[in-house]
Amino acid sequence: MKDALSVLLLWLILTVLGEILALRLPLPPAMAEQARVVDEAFRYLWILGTPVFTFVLSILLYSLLRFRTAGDPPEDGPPVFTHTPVATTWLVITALLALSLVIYPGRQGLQVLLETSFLPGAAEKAALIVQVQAEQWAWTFSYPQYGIQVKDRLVLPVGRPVRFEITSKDVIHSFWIPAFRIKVDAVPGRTITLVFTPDRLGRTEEEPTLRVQCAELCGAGHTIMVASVEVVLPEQFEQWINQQRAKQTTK
Amino acid sequence: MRAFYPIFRGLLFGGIGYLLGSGLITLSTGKELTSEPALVIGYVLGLIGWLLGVGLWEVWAREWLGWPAHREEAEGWARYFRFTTDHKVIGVQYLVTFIGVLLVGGLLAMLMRSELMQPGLQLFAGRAQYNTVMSLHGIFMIAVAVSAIIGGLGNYLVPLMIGARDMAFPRLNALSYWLVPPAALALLSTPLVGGFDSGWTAYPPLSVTNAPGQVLFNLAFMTVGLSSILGGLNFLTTIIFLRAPGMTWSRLPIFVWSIFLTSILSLIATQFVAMALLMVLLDRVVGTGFFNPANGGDPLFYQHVFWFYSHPAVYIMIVPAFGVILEILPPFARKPLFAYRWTVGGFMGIVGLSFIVWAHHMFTSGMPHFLHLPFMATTELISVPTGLVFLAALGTLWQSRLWLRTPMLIAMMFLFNFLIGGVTGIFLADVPTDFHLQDTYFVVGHFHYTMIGGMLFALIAGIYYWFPKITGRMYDERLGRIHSLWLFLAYHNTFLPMFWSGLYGMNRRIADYLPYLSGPNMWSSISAFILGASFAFFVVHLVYAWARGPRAVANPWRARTLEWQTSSPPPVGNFPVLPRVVGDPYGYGVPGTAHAWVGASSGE
Repeated sequence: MKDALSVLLLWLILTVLGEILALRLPLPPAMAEQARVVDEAFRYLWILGTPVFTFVLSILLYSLLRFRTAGDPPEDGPPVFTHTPVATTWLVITALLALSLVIYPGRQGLQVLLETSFLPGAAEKAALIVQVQAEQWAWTFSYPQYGIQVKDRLVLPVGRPVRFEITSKDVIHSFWIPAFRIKVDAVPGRTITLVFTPDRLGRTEEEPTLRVQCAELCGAGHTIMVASVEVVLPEQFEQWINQQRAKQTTK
Repeated sequence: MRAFYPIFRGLLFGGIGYLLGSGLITLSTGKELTSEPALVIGYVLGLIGWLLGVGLWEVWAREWLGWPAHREEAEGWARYFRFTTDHKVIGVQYLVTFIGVLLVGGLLAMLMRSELMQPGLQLFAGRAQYNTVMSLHGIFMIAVAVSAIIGGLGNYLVPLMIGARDMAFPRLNALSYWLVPPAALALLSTPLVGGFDSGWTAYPPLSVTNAPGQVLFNLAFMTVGLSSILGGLNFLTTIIFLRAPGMTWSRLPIFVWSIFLTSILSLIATQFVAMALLMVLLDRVVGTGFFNPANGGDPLFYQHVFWFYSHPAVYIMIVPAFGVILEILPPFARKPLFAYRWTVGGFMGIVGLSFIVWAHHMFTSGMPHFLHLPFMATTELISVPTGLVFLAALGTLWQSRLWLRTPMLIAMMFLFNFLIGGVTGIFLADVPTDFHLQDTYFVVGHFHYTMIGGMLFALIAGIYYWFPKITGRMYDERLGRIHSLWLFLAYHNTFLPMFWSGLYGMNRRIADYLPYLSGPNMWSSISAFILGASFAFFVVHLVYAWARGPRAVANPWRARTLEWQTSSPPPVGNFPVLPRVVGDPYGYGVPGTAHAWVGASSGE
């Protein structure tokens, strides 16, 4: 009984410490609406995972400190082969925890992302279309509504849903902007759409997590398959589009 | 020198086979000796030549032609260099070989960490070179994780623990082992034909369009796969048919259960990865279009088939590790294994569920959205049977008389490491967080926590635990403890920072990164060198103990399972008289009981 109470106390202390860490954990900047769904799930899993982690850790630590014998133990411990109520409780609690995680944040977060990012409904609402073509080892971004094409530099207006139509010319690549959180593979022979709504201004040079990074091994140049990103005000975006148009007609 | 004769002959015949195969292709097609079709045919004939040369001919193949087989059993250390059928010799062959492979893979990791110590390219001439080193590291370590515990400890211990004289198919067992060296050789020679830069996962189209080193990788992987399938078949037959009288299924040691259940996975699942690799090979060499969208193929098809094996494979790696740890806990806790039947049920649950979680490796692959939810659900649920393993461990430790020798110390470290591996796994099972974390260093951290912190710590704990049984000598307790603490600290310092760098945007399989990630990388690299050195310490200590350590008694841990009831090391045939099993293998603390009655001339 004394042992059980001591472990309980140890568990409480470790859990409080873990939860403080969970709440104060700095995450990289989230610069699109959809990124917040991911961050919310991340923090929730940490908060819920902490008591599980500290529970096992407490028993482990306590056993190590309290039950250790000086040398070869002269006598054996109590011959407890099993304890059905303990095992049943353990099974039920772990199963409930696992199921609860499937429902939230898993299913719920997935639902939100489907609606805001993946499904045709989300794509139709998107005002700006960017076609992304990955190849060994470069990114090409086309803006079909404006008739321009840029290599290795992505410029986006803030606050407007952008529909990315992602494909690959050769091998599998993966389109990932860490500050937007969600990645999806660029697969030859298919086009996969993904919608982001950037909601903070920034540029790669100042915020390195705001970059397009290939996240699927694609050969020798995989490491350097990076494109810079800039999220700008709508009027700056118009300006940039006009510049690009001018450049491309003079060529 | 005579001891190495079978190896020399194997190499000679293998070389002749390779030249014959690749020569035939060269003559008939006019391509060069290292062209892809020549590599394939050369490898296959070379493999057959190697096997015949190393001893398959005398011991087995002569029988197929109606001649009597010769069985020339060598004495002493020469046994380890020939086609020997004693399961204990084969177990040691596996263990030593895979520790060798582990050290090579470790050296490759040191090269990678040297390159990643600072941003920019320092060590490697090009990024392709880094990719080859990274890919080789991956496949070597995968091979260690799949085969070291099952092939090494499994072969040595399963017949002993069930009270059998050998495996059911001793020659098949030898064949399984001798398939391994040519695969290792083929992998090591990939840099000669351009290397391969597609990682151990070999996703097409990259693996169809890259350098010819890929061909050797596929052939080597399939060879090890064949060895794994034959091994699984052998273990299943052995455990079903060769248990000693009285060894009922509910008296089977937990390690034997773990090998039995993973053998089902090895036997059934491995052919899927072989199929996937074969299709890549056919796409390359023959020009089929399984994965080429231009020919009506689909790159995602590969990933489904590949992970249909390769996710069960992670349980082929970790369930035997659970078995080792749960085998070590009872004698050092001086208590019965807690909730034995629940644990066996947990293992069964893991094995069953492991077949229906594979697509969690593909959440970001562009597969249809309706697959996300069911695969997330099964993946989250596999934590439930895994939780039963923790229940068994913690229940055994609770109120124990904890005897903290090196194997026990490492077993407790295992529980802590795997706990971190498990908790970080939740973030990868959850679809929203996995969208961000997939293919980053968070994943690298997670699987090194389950594979090094889990599988490798279990292997090391098992080696310390069974060292007196296998070698007949004792390791040095003080050095063992120094090594475990060294390993533990260096290991956590190496891999803990990876969770941070992954979360902050460091993708995996890269030779270089942006400067803002240099802090955790520098820390990881320095710790990794210290971690690497701990393995040198481990090997030197054990080699010394094997040669000069004090003689071990038959049962230094006062354990109850059968392998401890015979001499250290056990004689050929294991037991002078076959044992009769009469009770629970973990009846610690119950006066007047025993697991088995063993003939009077054995033991103590």
